[in-house]
Amino acid sequence: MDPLHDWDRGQIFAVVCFYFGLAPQKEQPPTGTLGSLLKQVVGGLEEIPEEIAEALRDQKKVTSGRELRLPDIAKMFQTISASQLTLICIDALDECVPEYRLKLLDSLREIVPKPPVARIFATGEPHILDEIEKRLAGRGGVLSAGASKDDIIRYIRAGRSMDTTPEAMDSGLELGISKNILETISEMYVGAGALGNLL
Amino acid sequence: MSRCPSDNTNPANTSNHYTVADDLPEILPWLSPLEPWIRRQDVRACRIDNLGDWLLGTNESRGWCDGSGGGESDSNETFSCHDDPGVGKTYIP
Repeated sequence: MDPLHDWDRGQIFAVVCFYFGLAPQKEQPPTGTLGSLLKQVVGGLEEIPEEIAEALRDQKKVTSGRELRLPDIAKMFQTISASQLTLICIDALDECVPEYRLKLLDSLREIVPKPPVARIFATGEPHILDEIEKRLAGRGGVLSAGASKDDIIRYIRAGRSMDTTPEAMDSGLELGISKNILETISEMYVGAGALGNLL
Repeated sequence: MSRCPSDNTNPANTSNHYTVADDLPEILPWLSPLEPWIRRQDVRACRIDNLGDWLLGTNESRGWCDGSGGGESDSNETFSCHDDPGVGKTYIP
């Protein structure tokens, strides 16, 4: 997400990310996901909103402490987003536990539409798009994009260049793997030209 | 020490008060025990230069960021990139 930091001539003040691709993250409840995002925002501040410091003091008053609840996190997010543009990037959203995913999207729906601006960039498999649109489109549109053919080819090439056992690959296997990837990605990306460039 | 963010860029013109981040080492683990920066660094290390840059140049993405729309909607707050596993979505943009 580094290019996003430099994007739009400094308009973006905070870019925070959550990656669902690994096991501990996949099983995170919405409080864990949003807490992690909020942690990144707060960690980048020179000064923190008094509301957050006060919330910490309040939880200390409880003998065993009190875990953050979704409304707590959403409120703190809204507090910060009210004074700076926050870009929330969520990768592999489809790999989040479905029950948690719905709650997470609903929570994001509460956070995002609060003025002035917070934005969500989400990646996932195609089947997740309907869910995102249904849950988040109510207060703002959902734009969508697929990966480009050139990016896919470059990504596959880079992966092959990092192969630690190149001796295990022969031309037939390499052709089969590459052809299979391109064919299964999307019909629009399959073509003799693409495959010819790749091999 | 506290300040009102209206001293700085404050598009919402809110009245939030800020405090010096003395409590930050205590606040951060309270917000989340996860260390999101670690995974982010891993992704960054594996990222291919310029991959997905086209995405940031589209009218839709610019409209999404500056709030002017750019797509069919006048107010796009969510941008999704969807495709099959293994095509590199994690590394763009």
